[in-house]
Amino acid sequence: MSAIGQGRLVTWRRGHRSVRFSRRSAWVALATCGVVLVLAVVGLMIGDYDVSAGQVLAALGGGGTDPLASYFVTEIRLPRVVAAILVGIALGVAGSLFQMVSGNPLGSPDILGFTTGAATGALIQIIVVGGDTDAVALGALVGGLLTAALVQVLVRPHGLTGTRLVLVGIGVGSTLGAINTLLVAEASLVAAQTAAQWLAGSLNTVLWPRTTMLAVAVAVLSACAVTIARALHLLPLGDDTARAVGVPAQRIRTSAVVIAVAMVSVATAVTGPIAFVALAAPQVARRLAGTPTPGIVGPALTGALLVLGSDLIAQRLLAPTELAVGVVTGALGGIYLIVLLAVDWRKR
Amino acid sequence: MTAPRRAARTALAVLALLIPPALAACGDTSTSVAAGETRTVVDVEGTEMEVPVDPQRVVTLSEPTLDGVLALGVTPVGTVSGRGQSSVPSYLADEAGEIPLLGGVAAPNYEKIANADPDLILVDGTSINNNPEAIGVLRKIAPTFYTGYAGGDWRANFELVAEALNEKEPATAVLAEYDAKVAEAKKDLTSYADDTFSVVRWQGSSAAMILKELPAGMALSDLGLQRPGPQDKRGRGHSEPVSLENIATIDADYMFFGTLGGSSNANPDAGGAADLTGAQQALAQAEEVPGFSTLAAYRTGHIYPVDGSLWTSTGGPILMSRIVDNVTGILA
Repeated sequence: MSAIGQGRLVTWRRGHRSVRFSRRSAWVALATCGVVLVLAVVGLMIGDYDVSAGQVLAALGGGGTDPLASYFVTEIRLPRVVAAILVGIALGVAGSLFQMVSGNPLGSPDILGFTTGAATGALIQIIVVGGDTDAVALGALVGGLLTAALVQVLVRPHGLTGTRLVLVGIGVGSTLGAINTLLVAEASLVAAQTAAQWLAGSLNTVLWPRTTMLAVAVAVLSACAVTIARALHLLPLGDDTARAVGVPAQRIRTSAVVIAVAMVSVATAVTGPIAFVALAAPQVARRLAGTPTPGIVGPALTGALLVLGSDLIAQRLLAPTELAVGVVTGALGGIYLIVLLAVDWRKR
Repeated sequence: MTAPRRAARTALAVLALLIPPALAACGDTSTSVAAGETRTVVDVEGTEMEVPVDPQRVVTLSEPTLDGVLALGVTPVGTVSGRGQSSVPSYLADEAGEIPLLGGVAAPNYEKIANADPDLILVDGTSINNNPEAIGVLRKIAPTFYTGYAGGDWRANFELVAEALNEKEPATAVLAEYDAKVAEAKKDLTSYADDTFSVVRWQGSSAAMILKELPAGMALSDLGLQRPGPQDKRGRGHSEPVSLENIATIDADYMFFGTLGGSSNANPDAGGAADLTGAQQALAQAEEVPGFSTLAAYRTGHIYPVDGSLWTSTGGPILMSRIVDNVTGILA
């Protein structure tokens, strides 16, 4: 069903470069952007501290009469909204890259152990070193990358294929998961509490310094992902066919995995592991756009929508108590994917 | 041909570039300044700040600071829920039940705190640990005084709470009252000089021991009650988990048995009561565990269910004094 439903194709040319996309995916992307924008505005408007719409505008324009209101809008809510969008993009793109490389809709960094590895790095900082929030972010970054290196070393002698990546990833992930459990069990109560908070994945207290770093990383990494996106679409045809049209399949896979791991590690460093987005966003995007592979742009936007929407729900559902955004993404993403699969099966 | 490799290299380069700023990142320093008449105080981290001479709207973001403030007769305008609990610590329910909650112990709701319009915020390492950003945000709202590190001495923590509130003399009186109570209780407990006392926190289906550095351990030391060998030491600021095959290590002549509900590190919201009823239910569960019924304390009927929020968590002078009352109530 999905392979046929490509819809009308549009080609944009500029010089000798061209981009080809279906009209439907363009509309879906535009609509998703619109919803993200609306949610972003909602995110700036609502909160427990009373700030009127006028005050929000004044604060964004650099004015405002209540300095605390301006502070909450520009220094707490705005970086949080921006970070939610960026984390969503990173997770969506990373998930899509993994799924295209592994040719498996379950090929997501949550399942392949990369998120777990980032968590191990962070937990070592929280529990063993007792580092502050910056040290924890750094730990997650390093943890994710070391995990990727380990998976690479284990996979390499036989070549990076989808199945092998999935199997090795799951194995490494389970081992690291056990280490994480051990770390938390041995932690002091306070450190364990910090760890539990971090492990749930939260955008609480994500301020500008972290959001800015995230923005730079996501911008560059997304650009990297776009450069190999087209080659990735050819992988399902088989390595030989890909080579025949000038695509070095092995190298493309390796690059995609490196970029994806970098994106997941950066996102996890900022917020802690946010469940399910990397897994669900590409699949949701693919079904919305009706394309055979998820691509890059669709999952990025869908991921942004998922994380931002979930964060708003996390903040407001049980207000004033705040849920961790990871709890909501897990629930929402899961439900949505089940619905989509059910619809898909019925059509068959 | 090299495009993918270049993309991967760029990706790695980005990460390498991110690491130094991640290390160097720091927040800006402009902070909220108290209005009206102020005095200069220095908190446990050495941060100097201006606080009101007579703070009217105090917010406490941890159990020890809430306990300390209440002990000084001040009612905060907002606080956070107790550890592993969805309301104020149950041992303070009577005094603090009406105080608005402004988030959880590790997740304060900044906007809610700002709405409470505090003129002084008290935090310590049991609630906000290694999180300079969180402290930075709080300092935008009101002067934020860090009273102590996790596992620190409760007296020192309480004295700093008093310092922040400008209530040093009343604090001395509160501490003297505690010492007098302990001295009195000691006289009633002389017949227990040769016995050992275990403090156990039951969690889900396993036990943890409260060692000597935690409030309940300190109270027993103050009372001159001995601990069994495995508990006769200072721990790492938390209850020491015991695996079920080693259940015999929790044994002693007497056992105080509490719980914080089904909550655990991995699942802090599992629910279950932290109070006396919760302890009784947990004890019923514990009896099902192989080996529990062979413990000497069990066979002699010397296991006493106690309020877990009082015995196995953290707090200040009210907590300490109630543990002492609890012990004398049970034993004397």
